[in-house]
Amino acid sequence: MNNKTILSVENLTLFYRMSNAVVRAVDGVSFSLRAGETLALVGESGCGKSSMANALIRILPRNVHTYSGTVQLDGTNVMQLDDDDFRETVRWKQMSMVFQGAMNVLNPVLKIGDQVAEPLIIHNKVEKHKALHEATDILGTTGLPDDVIERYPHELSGGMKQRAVIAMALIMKPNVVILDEPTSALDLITQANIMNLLKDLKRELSLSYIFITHDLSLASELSDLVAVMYAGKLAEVSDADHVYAEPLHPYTKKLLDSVPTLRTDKKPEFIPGAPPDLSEPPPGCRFHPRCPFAMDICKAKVPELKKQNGDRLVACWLYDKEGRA
Amino acid sequence: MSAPPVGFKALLRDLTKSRAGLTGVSILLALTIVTASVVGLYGYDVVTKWNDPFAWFENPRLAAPEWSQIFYQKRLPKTIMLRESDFIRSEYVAGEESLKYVNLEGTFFYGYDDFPSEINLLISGTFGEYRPLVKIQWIRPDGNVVFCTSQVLENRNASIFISGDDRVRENVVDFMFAQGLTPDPKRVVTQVALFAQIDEGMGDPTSARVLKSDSSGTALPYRILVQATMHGYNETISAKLIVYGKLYGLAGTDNRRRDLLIGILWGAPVALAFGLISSVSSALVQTVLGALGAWYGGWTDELIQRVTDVYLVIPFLPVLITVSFIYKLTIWSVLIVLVVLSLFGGLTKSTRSMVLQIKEEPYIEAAVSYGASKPRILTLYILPRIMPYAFANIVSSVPAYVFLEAALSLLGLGDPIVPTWGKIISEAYSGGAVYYGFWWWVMIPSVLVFVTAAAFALIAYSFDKILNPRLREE
Repeated sequence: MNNKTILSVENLTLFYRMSNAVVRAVDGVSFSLRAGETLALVGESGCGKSSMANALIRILPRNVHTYSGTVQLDGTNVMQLDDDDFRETVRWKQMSMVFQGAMNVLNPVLKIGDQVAEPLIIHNKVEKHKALHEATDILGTTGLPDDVIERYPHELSGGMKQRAVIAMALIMKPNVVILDEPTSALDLITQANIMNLLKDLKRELSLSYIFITHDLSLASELSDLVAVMYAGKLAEVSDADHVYAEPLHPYTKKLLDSVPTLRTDKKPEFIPGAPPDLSEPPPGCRFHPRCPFAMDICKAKVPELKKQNGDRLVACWLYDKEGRA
Repeated sequence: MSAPPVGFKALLRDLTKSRAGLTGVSILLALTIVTASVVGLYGYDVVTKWNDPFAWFENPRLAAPEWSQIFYQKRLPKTIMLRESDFIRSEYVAGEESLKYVNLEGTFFYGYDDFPSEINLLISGTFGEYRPLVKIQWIRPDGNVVFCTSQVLENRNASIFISGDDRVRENVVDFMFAQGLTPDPKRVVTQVALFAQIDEGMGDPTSARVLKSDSSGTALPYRILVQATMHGYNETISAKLIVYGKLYGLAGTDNRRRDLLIGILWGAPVALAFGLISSVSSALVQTVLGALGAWYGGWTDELIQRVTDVYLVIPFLPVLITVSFIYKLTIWSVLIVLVVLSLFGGLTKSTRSMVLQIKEEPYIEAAVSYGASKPRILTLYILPRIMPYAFANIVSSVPAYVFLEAALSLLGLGDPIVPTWGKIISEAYSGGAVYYGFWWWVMIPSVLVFVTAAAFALIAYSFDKILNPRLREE
């Protein structure tokens, strides 16, 4: 796959203001995504994955301290658009999002059809019956029967709701879809079904996904690229095949070791310590307090995301001449 | 735990499933039918008639409802009316003097165990310069003739109020003396003596016994004889006798002889309209304002909440009393004042707290992300969520407003024209109904106020069960 770059993020930063601290939730993240590719964003809870999704689609809380960087979407820097332009031109038309926890994403008092058609009605001012027609089509694409448009969310199972939420994300035919833990709170069978659906949709509609998950095995299912995030920064960005076979960053290694495996005696390991407080991140490499290979330089200087072993990117002094010296 | 019902039909279906809800809905339905039929049958003319003192003279004063007979051991009289055509007429002209003698004789049976409340004879005639002389005699079943009065007609439509006329009473006392009795003239009650068996106690309502004349007894009727002497052969005269009973209609009468049934039936639409309009409008405004503040936040929220704080400390009833005392408001103006005084209130606060919770839910965030505007989210996402609670609140606050109307009327601040339940109770109170035991005058409107309030309370109670899943019994 050697398509053109559809999304390129440079130095994206999102800090929140708390009562007497600044939380560095997303701290200078850069990556790029080519058309038709999937980037899996993995990391522990609270490492800034969802904040990054919110920063990309610009759903910000009131207490934003800093929101900067560049986001090139299909060649335009969408960070320069004001809120109304962003809402009208970017959201759902170019980039949409499947939210975490499908159970609560659907308005309980709207019928599924009306709910899925909402973006069309809002953005394109489409008449309701036409919008409903399109909603029925897209719901069919996600494997839901036609009569579902007349039903209310509480009449649907979790998997059906998730399909409806995916349909809602696809109705404006965006290029990039952010999937924020799309299968959390679903059982394993449903999870597998949804994953297969997402794969099919990606192929049929040539979508690019940003797939946010804490589940590394799930990420391996879908992703072309894996970005490992730790404490608001990217630790490693590699193609999926290499990350699992040969992780570079110590955090990635530890993360993979902590995944339980079937039919082996190996006990899942855990990473000592806890993720740092993002309002007071440790100096230097943010992983150094928990890193078994920590060196002096790790405590003093922040490692840059640098190319290593071909196209792979890693932010660790172990792979830097300066570090090894 | 099942989800709250969606849509009005489902709500109504769930509502009628519970016994309380079914009772409430049935009462409400009955009241609505009464309302519709009253407005359809009588129209607004009734209100004019209600306040017209001359429209009700054919009704007995302070009569109990007819069905209350089952509570009494003796048969209470109903009103007996002899119309013009019921009188047997005989007339002859006496020669050149052109004197015309007219005899009108009315007959009726009287088989009740109690005495009538009043007797009235209405005489109307056409005559010229010389007025006719009218002599009235009362012929009893026992054959005795009581001479009542003999007088010159003053007006073309005269009313000889037999039970209240002093001359008639003197003649009745004379009749008693002529029978060899020794009554105390001050204690003789005309309408009692005229209908009593001849004995020492005949003039006194506490000791007199009724001289019955129904077909089972003596079979002779009571007769009233009106003899008129007129001064021209083309002059006419006719009479109408009303022997007022002590029972009337379904709801009795008040001290102005008005049929309370009409006032009470008219009270139903007024009470329903007043209660519903005031609770619906105040609850809707409060809900929308609370949601608006919570959703938009900032100075909008601040303004709405501070105004609410001010409203909450305004003493509601005293202000309402003062305003209606100063301006002598009709019930509909009171309604407007009431709504203005409840634009902000407790519901603004509770709605705000609910919306603060709802607006953090993921589906609101999702709606923001796919570009729904703020007003759209408010109307399509937030308000439908809190409407069931607003609705339950409306239903449960209706009784309060029905009572409020009654309370204001009782304080004398009600509508001066429209008959309402509260006003009937107020008039009963000032008419001494409780003291004298005119129970129907107080009880019937009070029970109706109570039943209406209870209907809404029952519906609110079952709403609460439907809308609050934790209270569901399944």
